[in-house]
Amino acid sequence: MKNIPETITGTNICQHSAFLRLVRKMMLFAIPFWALIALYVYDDPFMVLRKYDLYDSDVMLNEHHVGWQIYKNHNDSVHFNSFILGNSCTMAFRCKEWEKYLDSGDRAVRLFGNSESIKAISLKLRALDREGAEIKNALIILDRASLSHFELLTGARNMLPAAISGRNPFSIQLEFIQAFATPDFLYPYLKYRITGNVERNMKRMNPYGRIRDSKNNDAFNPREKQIQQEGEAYWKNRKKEFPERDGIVTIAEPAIFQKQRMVLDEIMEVLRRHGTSIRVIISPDYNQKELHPNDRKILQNIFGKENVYDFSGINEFTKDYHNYYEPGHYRPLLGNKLLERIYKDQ
Amino acid sequence: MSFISIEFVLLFLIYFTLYHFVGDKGRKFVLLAASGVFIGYFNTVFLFTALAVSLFTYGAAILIEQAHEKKRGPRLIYWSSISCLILCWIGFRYANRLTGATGFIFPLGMSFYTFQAIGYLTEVYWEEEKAERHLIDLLLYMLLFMKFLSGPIERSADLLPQVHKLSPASYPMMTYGLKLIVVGLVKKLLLADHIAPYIDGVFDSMHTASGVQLFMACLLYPVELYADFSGYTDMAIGIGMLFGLKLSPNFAHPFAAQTTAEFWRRWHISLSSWVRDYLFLPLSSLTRRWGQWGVAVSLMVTFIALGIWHGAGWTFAVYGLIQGLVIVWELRTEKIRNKVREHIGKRLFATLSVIRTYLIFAVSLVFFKAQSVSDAFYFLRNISFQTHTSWKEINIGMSDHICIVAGSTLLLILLYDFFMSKGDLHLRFEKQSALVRWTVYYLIVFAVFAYGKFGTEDFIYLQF
Repeated sequence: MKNIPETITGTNICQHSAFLRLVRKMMLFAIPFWALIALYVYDDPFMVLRKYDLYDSDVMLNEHHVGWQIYKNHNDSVHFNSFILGNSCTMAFRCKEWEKYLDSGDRAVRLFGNSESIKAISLKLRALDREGAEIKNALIILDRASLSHFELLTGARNMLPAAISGRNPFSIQLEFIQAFATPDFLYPYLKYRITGNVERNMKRMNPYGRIRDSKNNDAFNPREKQIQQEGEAYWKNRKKEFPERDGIVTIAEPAIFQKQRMVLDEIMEVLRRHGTSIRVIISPDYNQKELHPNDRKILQNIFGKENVYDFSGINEFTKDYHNYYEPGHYRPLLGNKLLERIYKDQ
Repeated sequence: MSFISIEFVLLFLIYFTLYHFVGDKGRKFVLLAASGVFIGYFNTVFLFTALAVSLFTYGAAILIEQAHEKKRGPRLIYWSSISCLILCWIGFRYANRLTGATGFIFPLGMSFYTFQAIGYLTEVYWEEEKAERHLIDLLLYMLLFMKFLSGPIERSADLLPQVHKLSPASYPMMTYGLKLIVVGLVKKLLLADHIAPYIDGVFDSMHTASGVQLFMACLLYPVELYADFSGYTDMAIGIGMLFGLKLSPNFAHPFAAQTTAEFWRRWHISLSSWVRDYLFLPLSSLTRRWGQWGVAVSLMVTFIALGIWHGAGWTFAVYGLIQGLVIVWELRTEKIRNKVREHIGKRLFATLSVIRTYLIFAVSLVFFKAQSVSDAFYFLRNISFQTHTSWKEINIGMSDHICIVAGSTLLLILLYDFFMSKGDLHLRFEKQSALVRWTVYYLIVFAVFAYGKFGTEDFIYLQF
């Protein structure tokens, strides 16, 4: 630093020339970055720059954004008043199935997120509230992991849209561009862009085609088709995915502490204001780990004992492996049984 | 407005362009306007506070100089001015504690520009410097936006002459500045911001964290602090160079230090040299009669003051106290350490000394980071190799992706520091072919673009 030429004490022409030379070099240097940004804006691979009627893509999209856009696209005509919230296990709960247990005319939409945190659920309810939505029914699908997350997840696949989180839209778009520029995504995407084919090993790409209902965001899990084709062999061929359970009751570590409790209170505050009919489901975990009794008690205190349904642990639902796509997700077959159980007394 | 915000990029582009299209006099106004917008954007009160302190300093320096000329009480004016500045700083720093209210916000950058003002007044009082008669120049010295928030704490002898003759930078100086900015971004976005949430997480939940998590957080926090603060400083110096200004360096590969005394000659240099010149040396001369004990007392007072400079609270005082105690201990045991060095060999001794210095700093930073002294003691008491469930806890919750990105960046930074210590890497790199240079530039900028953690605009030293 000591040896570099310092300031120019010459004429104005000299001063300009150093500055203009720098500007020229910078513009030249930035060309590949501008090209990348141009491709991003033109393709809009994450479908976040423009509005679309259909959110089907060969790229894995941000589910928060898709769910919210589907809600916005159809709310004027459908008037959604019932909301399925929670993590990806919400895929087991079909809107049409749930509507059977609701008042006639009630319409449901699924607003989920992968590895959803309770903070995201809270913010979605607040966003609905701000939008002036009627929140008549709420079906909240939780597990220990989502209960323990009181902060928002980050990253292009997990961050909430600006309309929900209240974050600066520009910084959100910047994160999407950054996700686009990550080699993990960019190289497979450029290959896909050239060949037009999505290969199974391509990260963050969707090789399954249509995976959601464009009207209510119900999930179409491609594994359901595989189960239909393979039958019992589906589980026999995936023994590694479905380890034997030892049948011994194990209790999970507590998940709800002060901060989680505050977020749960926030959720309840919105639901109370709307006089919402609430059903909170603790997912039936394949590994049969039971939710900690203290957590269950806290949930019951907040949402009401009669509204919390804990299906974790060893029970008739978790015993049958046919109910599962893989240990992390269960099928609508089981979702329907759970709906039947929770609404049976109604 | 942070250096890594879109607002700052816009401000910079506008004023950087203007700076190159106005005449000599206009440049000062452009820089002053940029600094005013930069400070006022945070809060107009911060701008008014900084202006008030600057105007006070301007007037006080002239009065001290006049008193010297007339030989009438410069000491009184000097001490009154210093007392006013210190009381004002303490008032803001401790306002919440003193009043019990929570509404007072400590003005950003105040610790830095107050120290600059004290240094400048002292130089004028010692008649080492002339009082600055051009108000605009003094305002620029005090408020320059690139060093306003977190330093470097500039000496009037270094910066004022540059401000007097503001000129645009040469092309090599501009490119050098740009490279420093990129180095700063790498440190901040690829290392500090990636590991910060996990270290914060362990400190926030220290009562439920396992021993090994506490150990890792303790080891990693110096890395985070260094990447964050030296990243900020690199950006500040780089931005300064784009405007043709050379700011003082603040770090000189501190983790290569073999003693804590040496560490403080390499870490936050502008602050440590400030306290050395304006506190330690005057104190040492006052306590000269006490011999070794005088030096020890001066060191302890200096380092406790350095700790307290960081904020209100016992934690910072203990942080400074530890530094002082260790340096006094190092002074007292120099002979023994020399014997050990002869016994085990220079290289092994140097390696062990570097590790020892790092560990002492890491332990002292627990006090710097913890909310209370009791929390810090709890943290240190519970450091162990024990886990709750598995050894995976050693990553303190960081994903493999973050471990790889942050780990590779740390390695790169250490290599960069090592080569910089052997000579100016940037200038040597200039001698490579354009193909090599541009390939490296693209790789680094693309890495920042793709893997940088954007969205966090705060720097740790903003709070001070």
